[in-house]
Amino acid sequence: MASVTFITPEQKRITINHAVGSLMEIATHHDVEGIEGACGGVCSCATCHVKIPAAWQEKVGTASDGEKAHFDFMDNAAENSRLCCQIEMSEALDGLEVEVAGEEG
Amino acid sequence: MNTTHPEAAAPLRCPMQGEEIPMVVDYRVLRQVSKDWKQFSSDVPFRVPIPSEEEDRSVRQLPIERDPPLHSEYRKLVDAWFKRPRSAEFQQELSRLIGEQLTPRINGEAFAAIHDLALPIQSLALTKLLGVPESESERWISWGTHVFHSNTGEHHGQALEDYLNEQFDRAEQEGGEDFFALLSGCEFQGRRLSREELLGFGNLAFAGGRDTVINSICGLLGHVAEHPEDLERLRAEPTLRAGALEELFRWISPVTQIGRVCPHGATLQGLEVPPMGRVSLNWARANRDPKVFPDPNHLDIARMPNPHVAFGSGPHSCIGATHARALLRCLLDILCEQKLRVEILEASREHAPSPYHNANIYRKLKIRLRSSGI
Repeated sequence: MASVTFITPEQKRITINHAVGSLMEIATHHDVEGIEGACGGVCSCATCHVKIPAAWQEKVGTASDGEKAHFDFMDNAAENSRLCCQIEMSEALDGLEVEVAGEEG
Repeated sequence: MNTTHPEAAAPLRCPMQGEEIPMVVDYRVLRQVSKDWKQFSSDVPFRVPIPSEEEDRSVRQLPIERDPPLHSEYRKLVDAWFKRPRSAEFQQELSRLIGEQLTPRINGEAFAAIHDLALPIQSLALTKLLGVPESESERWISWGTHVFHSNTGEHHGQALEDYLNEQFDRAEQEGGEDFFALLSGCEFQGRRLSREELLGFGNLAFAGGRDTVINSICGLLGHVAEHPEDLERLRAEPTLRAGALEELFRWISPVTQIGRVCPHGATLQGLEVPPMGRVSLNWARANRDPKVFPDPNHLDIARMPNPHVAFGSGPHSCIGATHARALLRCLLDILCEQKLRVEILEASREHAPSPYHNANIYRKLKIRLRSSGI
């Protein structure tokens, strides 16, 4: 089963093995600080903002229009930003590392 | 902060309490202002709401009427508590109490949805959020749909403060596991919270989610009555329900607008705001910015993208949003799964006497609940 590591803004690494579901669901289930998932995973709140390291960007894919609608208005968004409610964990992403963006400002 | 954008909608100038208050209606500008707490501050008791609430309460509401970093420290005290509605156990309880309110009315007489259904559901759900017996809701219901004033404008915020003092007295003497005991027992900056601070937290817990939740419940009931095809679709496609509720919140925008104070003055889209002058952030209008939400007056249950600001934006985003979302989701699930139909017998919405009012709030909503096929 696949594992994923969340790296918090304080550089704390939280690795979750046997990860199933969206990254937002996985993070909130394990109380990863900085990932709230307030809207339940429908791209309406941007409280699950992560950044994808270059090595993983191709496999993870790019942000959808629903995600970009938020990033246009967020100071801390970047080219590698994603809302992790839109990233479904899979065997292909085994070993994935993502950086929790944290609050703006 | 540069709030000037070539395509930005100009702020409205709203006469209110002897001031001409600039009201931000452009989505992009609103999002910028809402996170610029140094220029546009919330650290002014009673003056974050517009109109201001000096006559409605004697305490600063917490954590909302503070700025970061103090605001964040206060919020951290209760953040986990307000996230409890995410749990399956909590949602089961919400579903039970909503079901108990709905079931006796199915195929029964018509009733006033605001007072006879939404108000009891909101109050009972609040007992779950605060961790107190459901019987407490009887007193809260007696206060009416708004905790600070009656429908005729009469102020009665003292009733809430008297109640909160009773609860904190009890919690300090007897302890317990409810919201009041949590706050009474918690440590903040190496000390216990003062009574004024306790009342500030309590006041917001009651005032913040009262008419807003009631309006959301009625908005959902009214929409599925007027658009039974949407309810049918949500019944058939449960994965659409979470997004549909986000769209409902956008469309209703239960908190129409809220204020900020500029301690040193500011320039807002070319308008000069004097020191200690106020600005208003109109969430409802931003949620209808056609540059972000095409066909904004249409409630599209499958709308995407939908980056709405119905629960605010920035550090002061609504602390009760988890509870509101869970409550509305439980209600929608019951309407779908029990195959209920809502019929409107009489309804009136808030008229729009000025451009900044929200037209999607019911002032009267008389409905009948039917099981499908009857």
